Amino acid sequence: MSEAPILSVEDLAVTFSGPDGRRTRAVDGVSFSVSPGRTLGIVGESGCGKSVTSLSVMGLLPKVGTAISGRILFEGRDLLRESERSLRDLRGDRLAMIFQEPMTSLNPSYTIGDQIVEAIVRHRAIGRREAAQRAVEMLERVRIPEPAARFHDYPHKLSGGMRQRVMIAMALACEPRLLIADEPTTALDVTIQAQILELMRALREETGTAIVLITHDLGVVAEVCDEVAVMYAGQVVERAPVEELFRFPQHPYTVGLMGSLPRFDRPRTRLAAIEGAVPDMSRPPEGCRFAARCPFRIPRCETMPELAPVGPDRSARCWRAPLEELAA
Amino acid sequence: MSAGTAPAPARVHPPEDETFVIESPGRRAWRRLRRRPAAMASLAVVLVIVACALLAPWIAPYDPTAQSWSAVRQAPSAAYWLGTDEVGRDVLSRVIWGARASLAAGVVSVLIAMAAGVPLGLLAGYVGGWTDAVLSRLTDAMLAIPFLILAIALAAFLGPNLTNAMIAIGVTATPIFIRLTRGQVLAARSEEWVEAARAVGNPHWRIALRHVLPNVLPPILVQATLTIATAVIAEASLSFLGLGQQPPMPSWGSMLNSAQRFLAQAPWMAIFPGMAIFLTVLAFNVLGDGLRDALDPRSK
Repeated sequence: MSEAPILSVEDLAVTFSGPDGRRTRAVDGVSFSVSPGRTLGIVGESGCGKSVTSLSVMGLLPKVGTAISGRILFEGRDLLRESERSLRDLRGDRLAMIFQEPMTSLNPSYTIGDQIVEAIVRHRAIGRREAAQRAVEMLERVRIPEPAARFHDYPHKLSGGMRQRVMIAMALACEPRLLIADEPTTALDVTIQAQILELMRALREETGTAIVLITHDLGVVAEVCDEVAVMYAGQVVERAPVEELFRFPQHPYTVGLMGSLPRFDRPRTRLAAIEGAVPDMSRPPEGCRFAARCPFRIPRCETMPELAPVGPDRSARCWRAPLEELAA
Repeated sequence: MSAGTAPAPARVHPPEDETFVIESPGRRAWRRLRRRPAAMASLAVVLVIVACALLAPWIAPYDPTAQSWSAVRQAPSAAYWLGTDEVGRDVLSRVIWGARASLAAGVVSVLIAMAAGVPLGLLAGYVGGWTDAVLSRLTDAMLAIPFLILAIALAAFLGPNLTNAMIAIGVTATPIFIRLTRGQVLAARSEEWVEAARAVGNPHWRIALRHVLPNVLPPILVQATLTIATAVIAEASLSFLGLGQQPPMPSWGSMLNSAQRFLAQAPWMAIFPGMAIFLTVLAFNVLGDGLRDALDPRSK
């Protein structure tokens, strides 16, 4: 990490309490950071806490029944201590987010131009006419053909890929320092996926915006991320630069994830699945959360390992890391 | 790399097509409404009734309050198309003028109910928690009392005239709109575009008014059309009971009231205002049903 991080999350924990008194620890001691112009991937299967993590950075978790602790430092300010009012001023301005479902993330009652203008006018002291010009510029920047004509279109006239471009245009309209993308390509088909990822990469280069990319897809991570945090059952289990992670995964869960990835460079074999299921987070196990599904389990796994350094710039939450020695 | 080494990712999404264009929701609803003959016929009936109400002074053949002792309880004839009543007033003129009271009562009371019910429902559905609990219980309590009984009680309390009848019907219909709006808002606020609107920094009041409200309007519009029908009946009932339009100004309900004493001798006094009520209510109901089908994204 060269520059000072724009966002650093320290020991974030989120607990939801249900109406029946059941408490679910969705995120448990998560730490990560991302520097300007870099892309951090947060990977994990559904329910591992990655979306909750991103929503707590945006301050979009419901207030009732949610307990958040830790620190979320954005440009040196702890977002968890900021008022709702100042968070609102940050959101859409210096801090932006795009969502998984482009088909439902745009309000069907307004033209896409209106929606981008609304985001701009909310944060910039400029008139609607000027904001409209800016919106058309943004549509052009996200490579939407005939941006001036599309400006007046309602969302239902656009395909999924186009809508996601509009969402990106809206998110980037005020030149945010940090963009959180929650599964931005999951709902799109593969060719469009590649186009959107390419667009995000190009825009990052142009603007220097830091990106936190939430995904369950290691293929997406390999394509656009610089660093990766792998999450399992509410915890970060491994953190590494992207090449390192793919070359030598250091946590058995990461190894399992890679095994479930189809490869073109190996003889055809059955894709490996990780046996078992994610633990119930209202009653998490005391020891390592992956132990029940782990092929490398040892008695020591009954106690929770720390996220410990296993090399330069990388760490893993496993008693047995580094794992290369096991393979030998 | 040989073909088939990896399973092709299965995606169900349609291919990207930049030129794929769908019509706007409003135009689509109108096109679908036009395809329904019953709905279009109802719309025509409603427009005729509205025209009667608006143009009453010009199209009514006689003064609706002018009595004529030489023409008492006359059967329909060339001079009096729909006959005359017990003091010799022209039934056709009174039916035409009566449309004013009925439509005004139907439309104004529904506007009152919407003006009160939609904001309260929006508040309950959007804010949730205690606000919702209190408003919902109040709504339930009001809905537990039969519509007409509540309207009669309120009208009697406020005093007998057409304005008070409208207020009474409006207040009585309010919980219908609270409940409907609340339910629609509950469904809408979990949509992703609400979260997206928050993610660009919109405050809650703006999301509720500018983002959620326009999206819940279509079902409210349908309910309003159907409630106009209910309100027309309620006004007729109140006027029949002497709690609505006061004599000598005509209203369909009060015409029925005076007609009941002469059902055997002068049935036309009851038949024509009765038919006017029947047609109006039927038209608004069928139109409401048609609108509901036309606005429903799931129906073809």
